[in-house]
Amino acid sequence: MVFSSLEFLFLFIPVTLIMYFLVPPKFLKWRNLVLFVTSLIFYGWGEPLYVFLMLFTIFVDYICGYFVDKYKEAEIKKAKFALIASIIINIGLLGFFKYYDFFISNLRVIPGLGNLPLLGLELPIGISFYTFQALSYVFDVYKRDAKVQTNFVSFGSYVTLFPQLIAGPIVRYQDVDDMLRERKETVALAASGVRTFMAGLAKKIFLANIAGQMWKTFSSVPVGQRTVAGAWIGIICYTFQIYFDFSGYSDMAIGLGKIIGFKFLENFNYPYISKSITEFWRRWHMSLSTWFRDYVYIPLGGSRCSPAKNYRNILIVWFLTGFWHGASWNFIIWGLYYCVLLIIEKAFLLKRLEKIPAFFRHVYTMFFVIFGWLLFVSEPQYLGNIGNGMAYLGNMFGVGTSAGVSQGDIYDITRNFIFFIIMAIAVTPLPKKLFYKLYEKSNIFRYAAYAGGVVVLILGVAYLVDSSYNPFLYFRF
Amino acid sequence: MDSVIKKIADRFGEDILLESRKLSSLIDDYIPGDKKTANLLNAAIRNNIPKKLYDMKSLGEEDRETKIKELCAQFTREYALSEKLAYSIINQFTSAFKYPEVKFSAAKKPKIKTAPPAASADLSKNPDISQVQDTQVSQSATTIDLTTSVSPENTPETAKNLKQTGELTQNRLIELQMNAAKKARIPDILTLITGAFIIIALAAAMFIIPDETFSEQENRSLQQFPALSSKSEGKFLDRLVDGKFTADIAKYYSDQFPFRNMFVGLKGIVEIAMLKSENDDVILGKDDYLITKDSITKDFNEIRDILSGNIDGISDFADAMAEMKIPVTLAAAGRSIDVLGIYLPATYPRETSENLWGSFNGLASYYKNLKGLDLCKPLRESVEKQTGRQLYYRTDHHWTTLGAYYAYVEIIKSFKDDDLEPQPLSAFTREIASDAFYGTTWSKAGMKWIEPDTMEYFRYDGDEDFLTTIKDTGKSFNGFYDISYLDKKDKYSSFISGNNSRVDITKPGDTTRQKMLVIKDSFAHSVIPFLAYHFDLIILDYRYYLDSAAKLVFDEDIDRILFLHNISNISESNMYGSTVDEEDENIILPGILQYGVENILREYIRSQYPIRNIFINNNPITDYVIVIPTEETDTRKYYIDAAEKLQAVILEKMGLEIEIVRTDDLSGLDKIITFTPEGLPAVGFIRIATEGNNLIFRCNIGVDSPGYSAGIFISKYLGKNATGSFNFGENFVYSDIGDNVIMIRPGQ
Repeated sequence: MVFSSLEFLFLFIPVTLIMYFLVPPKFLKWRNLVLFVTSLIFYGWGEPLYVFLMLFTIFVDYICGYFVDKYKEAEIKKAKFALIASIIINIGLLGFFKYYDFFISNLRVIPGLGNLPLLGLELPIGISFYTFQALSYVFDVYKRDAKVQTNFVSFGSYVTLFPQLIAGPIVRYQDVDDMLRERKETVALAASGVRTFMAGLAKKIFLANIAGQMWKTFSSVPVGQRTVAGAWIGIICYTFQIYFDFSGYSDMAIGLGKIIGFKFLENFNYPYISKSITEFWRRWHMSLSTWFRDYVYIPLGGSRCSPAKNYRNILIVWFLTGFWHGASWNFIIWGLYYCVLLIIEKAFLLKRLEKIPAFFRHVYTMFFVIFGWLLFVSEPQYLGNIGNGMAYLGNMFGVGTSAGVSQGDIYDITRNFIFFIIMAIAVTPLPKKLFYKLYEKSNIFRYAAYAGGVVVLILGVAYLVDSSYNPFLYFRF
Repeated sequence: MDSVIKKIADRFGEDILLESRKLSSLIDDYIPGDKKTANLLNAAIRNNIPKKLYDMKSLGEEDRETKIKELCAQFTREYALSEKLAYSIINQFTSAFKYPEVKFSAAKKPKIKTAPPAASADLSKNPDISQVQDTQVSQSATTIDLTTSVSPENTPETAKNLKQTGELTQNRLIELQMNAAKKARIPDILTLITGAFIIIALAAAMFIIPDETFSEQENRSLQQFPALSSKSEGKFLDRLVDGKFTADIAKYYSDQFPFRNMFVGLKGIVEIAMLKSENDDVILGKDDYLITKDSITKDFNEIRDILSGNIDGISDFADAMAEMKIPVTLAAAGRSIDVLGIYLPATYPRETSENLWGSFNGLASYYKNLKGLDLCKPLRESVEKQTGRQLYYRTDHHWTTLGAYYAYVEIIKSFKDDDLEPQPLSAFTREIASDAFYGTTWSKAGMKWIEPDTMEYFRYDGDEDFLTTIKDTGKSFNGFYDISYLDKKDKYSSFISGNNSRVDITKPGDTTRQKMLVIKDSFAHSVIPFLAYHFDLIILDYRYYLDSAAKLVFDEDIDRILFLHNISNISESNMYGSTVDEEDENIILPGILQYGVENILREYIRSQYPIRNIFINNNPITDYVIVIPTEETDTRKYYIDAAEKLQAVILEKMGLEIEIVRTDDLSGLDKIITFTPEGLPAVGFIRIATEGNNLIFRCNIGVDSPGYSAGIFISKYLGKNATGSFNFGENFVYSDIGDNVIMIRPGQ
């Protein structure tokens, strides 16, 4: 079920929240049960069979967490064994369901193996997210960053929690450990959650979906009719789309969390105002970078080792980051692309950059980010493959285009002018800062914001009713 | 905020706290996004705070606490921080060393230079809520959680404020915060209540309001509540398991959502308000014209291929019709986007439209037997003159009745028939059929505030005398208008009752009129009333009609054929062109218009000739050749003359050309017509008979007999008034009394 859909807003949410709040606050474990059950229904809605796979994962990690906790003081070898078992099973399942066909189709190029069968398995929704969350539990118990969770329902509700089940943010167990045992829903927190959710919904429906339609149109122009301007507009629309889509979804997850008393960490911190690629990755999909940092980079040694090993660690983390996004070569290349850029920046470029005026640093960053997205989108569901992606890149520089700018491009740019300006402002922290400043100072503004929220909801429903075009990009994970 | 330092110490051991460089780099690894905190922690490290704290291990608790507070004070001063912030930074280290947390308390303050008392008086007089909220925003353990503003960037302000205003008592702080929370509380409660109300109200409405089955505005059936299991045997909950049930629920919710049409209209308002000039692929042009855009994702080459395929198919058909002396015209009507250019935004690209019409005109003028007619140009030019006449609807993709009239004029003119004059505009009375016509583009655009169109009928004397028959249903009515459609949304279908596979229009009592076949799409409907004045009409729609057009033309004795299509129908899908066989790509299947053409042409040609067929011993004469001796033997050309005479008459009467073969050896030949002098009882006899499958003319060469015998045969059996079929069967005898002639009479 997609958050930005009518059945989610007007069937799932009212039923779930009413059931949740009917349970008196002191029976927190029963509230967790409500969350667990409704989250399973939420997941099973889209994946009636794979919900059992997820239950299996929960069961495995619950057991492993228990054993890790039991043995971590006295018999550390047994604890390690439990940890490794958990890693193997989780990664194994993830690897099998998500990457099996990828491995097989690559093995097929070896002569003699050309006929290895593909399984054609459908990817279970959210497997990349919930697997990482479940793993973080066992890790955190092992590292003593969190206490073991003996209540199966509470643990289950952590893994399946519907706000972040399908598309993140990836919540480390240690961050919600306390909140599973005790949380306080307040009016202020809940109202803030509603506002956050509305902001996310607005980003998704008014910005991401529309930008996505434009990207779809521009990328479908037949090869002989493309223009340079059209190619640029297209990929810029995709750049906007993926940010508003993903960060909007994260906002909705965080907002929903607040309503039920969970305080999740932010997943995005205005990545498109970054002045370097290094900064970009500290602002984009922060929960993923944090996860890789805590559970891969630092255990491997992080930066506390020889420079050679440090670079090796960076390479491993970025290979995995790219690969995590999809079972296709273009994602691996995307990960390595950023790896190279980051290493260059770390080695010498960052220092040089600091001497350049801020404007050029923004341009430099966005340039490479946009090209990064072109790599990212050169996958089977969009441009098809890297070859098409490179052809598109060529279009951006006049190779294979019929004209620089066509009349149609001018029409589309001029009529969407306001829309582009809105999106450009929305990627900066300006609106949020302004909002909070006014919200704190002016009572009138608070009422205006309230009215605005109502308008956003009504218009959001209007847009949803109007369209059936509402794909969420990260669903394939 | 969790203590980063504590985490690092737990992970790597306490000793790491004394290795400043390693500690710094780990801090960078742990909180890469939080530069401010990292800077402060590093500052503490540079100040040797970890070492100093380490050295306090041996102290007693009280002493340690005092010393730590001194450290905090120093730190505060050196870096111009708020005390609170300084304490929290230092506490990161104390917790790493497992000391108890040292709380910031206003009462027990070691000697710090306080700000002048005036400043604190200021604060108590004018509690500035923003300052208060800034304060609590940084790391705090207050009970009231105003989570509305959590931004680390506020910290410098906090430091500034507190520095200016001096100390705040803890109680005062809480009091101010509660005031702030109270003020924000009402909008917060309103937010929650309104949100809950809207969600629950619409959710309930979804259940209470009964489901619609059909949407008139969208012209489609609406999704009903889906089934959990398919209807076949033994399938229980299968649709739940394979996900179809839940997918259908999504469709169900969007199709049955309460106030659906209102919401669609709301989106239209927003899009237009943002100056996007279009919504749902429909452009809102000047004067409230709704115009469907053409698509930039369509391949020009593909469009041209489809267009030329269709025109090819029509022209092949036209070639066959030309043999039957029937003229064929292909008239193409423009789309709104082609004709209404002056209402479009100035920046809208016209290239696609120009290309398309350029292609059409090029292709349509190329074929000998097909007359192409561009109905876009004249109407567009008329629109551009801006005479105030509306030629296309604002809310529908069709032309208005006035537009249809101008098309009719162009069509009649193109026939170049001196006996045909288009009726002048003044001959018509313009009757308003409806002033609330919401057309197709109005539905698509979702712009519900656009005013409807007025739809007219152009009435003329005697138009009620015509009879319109819908061949599909057998229903017929007088005149051209099925007014039952005027009560529904699709009012344009009142013209000849919408799309049917075949409609006939006749004028009972008048059978002398010319007949025209119109092969069309919906654009023709409003032109029909005008054309019916001049022609009896048979109207076919090849989206539904499955039979042979050629056969209809032949059977109904059609005089003229008109193809009348909107350019989009013949350039977006292959209607009349040839197709490639699905299984074998090398096989090309001819277009649908070719169906039955070959047979009909043959029948036509035969119909021009009175004799249908000649059979010899039940074999059709088409299987036969005339065999005569070679030139060397036929020195006087008696045989060739006879053969050619016979051949000429058969050609004239049947349209069939029989071959003449010259050979001297007749042995073993079958199915031949031949002349021979042998086998006669006496000189001067002529005998014509079938022998086996052969037709033998036996004649005496001395008397110019081959030609003479052929002549007798022709005059008797293929003469001027000969009609029908003949079968010269076995034992054919011909009897006559004439000079030296014995003819054998035909048997039974």
